[in-house]
Amino acid sequence: MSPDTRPSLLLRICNAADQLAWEEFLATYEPTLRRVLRSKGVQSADADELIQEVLLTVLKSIPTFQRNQRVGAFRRWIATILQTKLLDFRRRQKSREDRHLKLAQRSHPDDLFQVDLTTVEELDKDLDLQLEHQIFFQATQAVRLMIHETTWLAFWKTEIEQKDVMIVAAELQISVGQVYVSRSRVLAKLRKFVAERRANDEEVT
Amino acid sequence: MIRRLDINPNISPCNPKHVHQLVEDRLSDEQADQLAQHLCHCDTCRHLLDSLQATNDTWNETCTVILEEEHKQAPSSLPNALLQQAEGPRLSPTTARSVFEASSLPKGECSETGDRYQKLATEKMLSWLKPYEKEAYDTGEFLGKIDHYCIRSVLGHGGMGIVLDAWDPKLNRSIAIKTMHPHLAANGSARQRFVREARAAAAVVHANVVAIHSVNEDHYPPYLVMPLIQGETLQNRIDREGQLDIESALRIMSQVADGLAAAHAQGLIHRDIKPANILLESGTDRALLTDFGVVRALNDATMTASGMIPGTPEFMSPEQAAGEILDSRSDLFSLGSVLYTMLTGHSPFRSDSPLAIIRRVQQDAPKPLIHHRTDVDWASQSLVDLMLCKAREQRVNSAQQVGQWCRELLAHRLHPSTVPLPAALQTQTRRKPMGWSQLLIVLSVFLIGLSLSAGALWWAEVDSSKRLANPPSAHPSQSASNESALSSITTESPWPPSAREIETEIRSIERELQILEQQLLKPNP
Repeated sequence: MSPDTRPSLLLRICNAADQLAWEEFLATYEPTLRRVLRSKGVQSADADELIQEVLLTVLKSIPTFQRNQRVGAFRRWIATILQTKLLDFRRRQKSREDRHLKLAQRSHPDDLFQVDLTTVEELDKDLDLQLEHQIFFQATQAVRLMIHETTWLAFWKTEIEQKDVMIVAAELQISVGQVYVSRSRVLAKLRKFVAERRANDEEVT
Repeated sequence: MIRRLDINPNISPCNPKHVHQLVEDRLSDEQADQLAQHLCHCDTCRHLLDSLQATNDTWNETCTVILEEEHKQAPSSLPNALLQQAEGPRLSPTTARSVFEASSLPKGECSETGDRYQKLATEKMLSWLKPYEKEAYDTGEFLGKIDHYCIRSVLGHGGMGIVLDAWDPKLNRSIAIKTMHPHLAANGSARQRFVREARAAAAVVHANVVAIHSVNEDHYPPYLVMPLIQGETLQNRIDREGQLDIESALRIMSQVADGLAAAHAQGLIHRDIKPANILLESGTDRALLTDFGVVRALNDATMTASGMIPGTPEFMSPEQAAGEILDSRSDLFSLGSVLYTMLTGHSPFRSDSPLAIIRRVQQDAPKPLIHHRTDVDWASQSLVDLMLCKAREQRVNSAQQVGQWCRELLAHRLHPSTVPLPAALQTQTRRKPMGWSQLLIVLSVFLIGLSLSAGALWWAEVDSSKRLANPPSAHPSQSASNESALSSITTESPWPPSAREIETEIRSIERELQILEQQLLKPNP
């Protein structure tokens, strides 16, 4: 599908009336942000709050986001928001800990800023990776509906569950060759889906 | 060697081009079938295919993520023996959707987005229902079954579970079934807590607490059976009508407090008192407290769930927000927030992010009720204040007491001449709610008044002594002796009137100050 026929997700979530776009955005970014935060050692309850803050900020300030930028600008913008919120969170956490340890008086004022600083670049990279995972996952959901169940299972069991081709062939009562072909075809469809989605989502014109 | 044995003269020779085309998904079905046959025997082509689809670390990671997300999204695909047993033919997505459109869903605390998001999740949730086989004796349309209960519709759903309207064919009655989300039920400790809390709640027998008929933990997901209450939640009522009249609010509050007192007597803490957990039976207007700890038990396990943050911290107590160990007084704070919400139409601590709400719960004093409505009496304000004390030591200490006060207050409002106000609410009103700023104003007005009167007295003193020193020449006779003049100040003219005037002036200033002070202390118009 070309970007001409399907307006980019970014364009669509700018439109407050497009409920579906916001849902799609949530379905993609919420799990993505969660995994990024988890990889940064944020506990799940805190991650929930942070994600909520980030998403609210995105929702509020999306009209001010400068479009017509280079590819990946939207993701980087979210990475910037995430970085700010993460930094705030760590400062709060640190000052809370300090108060608990009664170290507040002894510590130098600059210590407040000595929190583990995560750069925007690092978060952008993490987001990119997790976004890729997430879109692949969404691809599996979409592709599954398009193909025969046996074809799907041949892919799922060999590729995702990493089972042996021979065993899967026996389980599904198809030939080994069919397992190979099925797997390759599903993989190709997944790749195509992901490539289209990414091109589309990053399309910022 | 093996390969040569396997070679069948009918098999097509190796065609690497087809393998490449397969990877790009450009083969026709016929070609693909041929290649499949060929791949059954040709190791070379398999190796070629493998090398073309060589996996890297990123792909392996992707596979892990896909597996994880799959488990979160569709718990029915978990390799769980129980699950497979429970899993029958699924409700088609369209059936599930129509269920939602048909049933009137109570509007939860989620935004519309969150709501729709959650709706999608619930559709998935229903997929584990057992199919319903129509039997000769029944007339109704059912969605499916849980054990022997026939499910009619979805009453409500939240981040943690779903409430279903069901029919019990054995006892011939309507019931409500509350289940956990299957993905939470996969968490063993969450399941245990669900059951444990249900048992504790079942021990509370009170007219203002929703009873629990039974609990089934062997089912997957576990569920509770409760009576079906016809009516709406307090949240719905407030959403629809805004602030309630004071009498209704007190009537509901006294009932809920009684129900809560019964639970506290069993050593049970509700932990999630909010208008959405208070049911109002239609017709009788009986208020019932529901969801004892069940939601909270689940809440601890919801962190893996997708969707926005499920609950709202608006009705939490400060100690709850701080993550401290709770006692029954925590519930009383939440109950205070509910009373405030009934009287004003919105919760006392509002903000746009959960974190900000938590901060407000811990630090801010809610706006006085008088800011939101003019017909509120001072005793109701002090009741709210007593319940919303940040320090639990200063808070009202039992639900029973709250119920008692509500009834007395109600009686007083209905028969002001015969029923006195509860004494505690009278005395508390004077000092408790006064903030530092108000105290400062009163104090400064007092001081100004004091200095004014002192100044006036001094001036009067100076003035009279001046007159004594320089008596008017019109009365030379009276300047003869100082002593006679001094004695005449207090008794006779011409000077005494001015001193007396000043005195009365001071008195009236003092009176005005007293009135001002009283007005400040009592912000009732």
